[in-house]
Amino acid sequence: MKTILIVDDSISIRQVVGLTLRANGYEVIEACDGKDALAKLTGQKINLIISDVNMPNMDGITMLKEIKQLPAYRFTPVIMLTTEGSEQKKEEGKAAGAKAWVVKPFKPEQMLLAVQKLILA
Amino acid sequence: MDLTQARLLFIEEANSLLAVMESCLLEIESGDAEVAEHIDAIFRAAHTIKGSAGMFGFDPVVVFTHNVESVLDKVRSNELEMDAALINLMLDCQDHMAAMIRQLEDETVSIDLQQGAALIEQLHQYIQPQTEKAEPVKAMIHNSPAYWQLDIQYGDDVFRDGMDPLSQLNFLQTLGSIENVTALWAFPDNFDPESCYLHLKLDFASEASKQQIEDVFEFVQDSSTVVITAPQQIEQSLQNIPPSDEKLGTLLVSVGAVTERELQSALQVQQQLQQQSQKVQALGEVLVGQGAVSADAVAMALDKQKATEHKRPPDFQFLKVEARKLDELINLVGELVTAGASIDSLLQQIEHEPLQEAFGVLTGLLEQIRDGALGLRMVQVGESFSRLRRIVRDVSKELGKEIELVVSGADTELDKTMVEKLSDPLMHIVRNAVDHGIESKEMRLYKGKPAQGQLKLSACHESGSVVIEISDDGAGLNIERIRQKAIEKGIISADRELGKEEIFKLIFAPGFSTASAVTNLSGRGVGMDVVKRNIEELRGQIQIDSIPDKGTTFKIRLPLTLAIIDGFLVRIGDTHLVLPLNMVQECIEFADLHENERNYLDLRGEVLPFIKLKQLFNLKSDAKAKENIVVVQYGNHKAGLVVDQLQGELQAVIKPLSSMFKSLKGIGGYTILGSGNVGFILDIPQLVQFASTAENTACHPMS
Amino acid sequence: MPVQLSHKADFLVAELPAELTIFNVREVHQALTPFWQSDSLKLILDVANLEELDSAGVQLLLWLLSKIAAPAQCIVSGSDNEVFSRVSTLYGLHWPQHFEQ
Repeated sequence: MKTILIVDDSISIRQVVGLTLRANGYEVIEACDGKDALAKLTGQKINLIISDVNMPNMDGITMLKEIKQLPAYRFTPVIMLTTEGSEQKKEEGKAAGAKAWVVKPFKPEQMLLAVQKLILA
Repeated sequence: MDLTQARLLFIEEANSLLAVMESCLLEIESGDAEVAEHIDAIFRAAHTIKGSAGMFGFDPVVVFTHNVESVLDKVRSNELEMDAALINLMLDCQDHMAAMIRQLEDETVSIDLQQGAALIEQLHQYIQPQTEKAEPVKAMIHNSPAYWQLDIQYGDDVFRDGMDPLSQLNFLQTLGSIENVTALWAFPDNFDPESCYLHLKLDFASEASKQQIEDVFEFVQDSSTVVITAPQQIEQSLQNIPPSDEKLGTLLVSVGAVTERELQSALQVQQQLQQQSQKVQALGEVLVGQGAVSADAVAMALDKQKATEHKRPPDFQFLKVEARKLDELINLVGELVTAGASIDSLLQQIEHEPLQEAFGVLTGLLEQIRDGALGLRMVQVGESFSRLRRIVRDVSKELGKEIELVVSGADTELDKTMVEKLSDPLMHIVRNAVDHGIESKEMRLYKGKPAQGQLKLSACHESGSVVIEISDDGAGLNIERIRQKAIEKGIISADRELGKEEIFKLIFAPGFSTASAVTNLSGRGVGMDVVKRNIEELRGQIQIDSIPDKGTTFKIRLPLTLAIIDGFLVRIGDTHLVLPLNMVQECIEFADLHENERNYLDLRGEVLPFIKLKQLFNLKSDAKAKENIVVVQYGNHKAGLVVDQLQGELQAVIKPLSSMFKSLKGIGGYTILGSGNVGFILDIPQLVQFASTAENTACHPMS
Repeated sequence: MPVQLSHKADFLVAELPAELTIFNVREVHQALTPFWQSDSLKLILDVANLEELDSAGVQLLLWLLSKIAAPAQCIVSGSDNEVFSRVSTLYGLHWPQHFEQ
């Protein structure tokens, strides 16, 4: 089973994304910000990371830069949740290693499609 | 967790974000904070609401909030100034958003659509006119299956980026069938296993649009070259379209020959050509001339949009727990405390010291768990205060008064239920203070006061209870007018002599209102009597102090929590009564004191009114039993309660009396004692009040 | 140890680990480096243990194959492995099969 880490400070986003992905056979781990996510990455296999950019404590881009330093996750694909019009953030995210993105607001099925384009079910 | 619950979570989240938005806006408006300090939090509130609402398909919320967000974004990027007018508009928008969220919760809530439209209109004036985005028309032509040709030259970094061409191949199969795959590779001598050297050519049978197919590769577009050649049939229909047609792009997209990305890029090229040569070139020509569109061109097209940066908002780390779970836990803790008490009483009988000691430790832990569990329900009163800020603003604006609101102790903690239930009474008091208490600007200047009135809100802990004070520097209560009014309304008889405090209390009498003109602000059908009742329902007490021309102060005293109290158990006959321990001052043997025919006694030179509970509640008791008196204090008043036997301290889980007994005065609830008996919890404020007024009025039974 | 190596007749048997992905292709590549430099290398790739295989892993296998002088000198064993056959089908790849003697 593929494991996905979702990092977002909005509990409702985490819940809905989590619900959708779990219903489609993925295992989902949730973290509420960058710090929390790093604490939860303890070497276990993670097939995909979905992360918001703006979060308290540690934003998504800083987190991503740290994750890319971790051998176990250096090639883990990352979906960034960006906003329409935040091109600069998107570029920063890409530079930090997030090559996939989903624009907020999104519908759960959109997220599922993005996930399926990235990892083999 | 299902979607319904997630939806509730969204509503809760949205409400708290709206509250943040409101309080930030108000702080900016009052000058307590700079725009720069709060704009990110305000923006983020709108942004997050839009984001989450989109996920649930609450499209009206998304559309409206999107407009709000766009304007806020301009403020963030310093393109717009957050002036008074804009703050006003934002507060109105915040109201509208709150209404939309309320409607999600409760379908009966109606939304003023006209107002919504007007707000959007106003917001649009701040947003520069935008060119309308061409909405792609849904495909009308049904393509017969045909082979698409896909040529994907993967970039070096594809693997390192975490991309796996396999998942794209797999995904393609959901759109159609891969008829033929050719994997090509060109490995250099210095082969790096982490670099990607793959080149795929596919024949793909699908009825999907070009856009859909292209989207499969959206995440590798930057690093790879993806060329998608449409089946001949579609290519032909492309060529048949007249080049002059304005909606060419839309049509091309709809037949699936061109993707939105290719179209946008072509439009840009067309525009550039036009600027350079003043020559109009048809879109079709540009598209044909351009062939496959590179990712760079897309990036350039998208670069038009201004980059925005989100900063971290001042939100805090909270764990959201369902209130129901918390209540269950607290209820269980309550039961645990009761069970502990029953073991305690059994232990007393067997006199086993090590067991008692061990149990003592357990009791200590139990108390900590109890306090911890109750602490979970504690929230800061500041939450209600920020709502009051809005009311002060709105009401003072409407009345043309200038009022400064000073808040202190907003971080004082109180049970969540109480904070919620306090909101209405506080609102009413504040509304009254702004409406009637603080004088008009002219009147204030005439009286030699500063034109700006002041309203103070404060909260603090005071010996096991929370005290909330609302004080204004207005005209103060007019004692004579209150008296007159009370006589007019038949609340008191004309010949009654009343002290200042008693006259103030009259405004809490049902049907009393001092406003000579009922404005639309105060006339909400809620009188001060309701305020008082609300406070009393929370086992609290409200007091008024007022000095003419100096102002009025409302003092609300509330218990910290509603669920469990430290009690003092007494007995009359076989009836057990529980008194809240924090109100018990001392216990004295009744026989030692001199009793006179009126119900007061001399306590070390102080006059102490007392009540014989036996008579009050009509209880049977052993006539020969020695009586005791428990001295209780509430606020500034003391009273003695005469009982038979003192039984010591206990922790009592308060259970509300059934509505059947609601009219019963002097009893606030009941609890199950360790012995299994029912103990009635006395409502000390009522009893104290009764005792102290009984001295002045003819002693009549409580009704 | 990323790859389990042993000899069977004049073949080198490389037993691939459970995972062959971008995370360990470099390691596996390095483990096999000493061998592919010899022209006479005859290789049996045992893929029976594979549980996870991504495109980087496939590419490494393709590269190994490209390094073997003659197609007959490389045999893929255990290719009925579920993961391996699924990936091969998606890529339209046909591997030199191993026939037990």
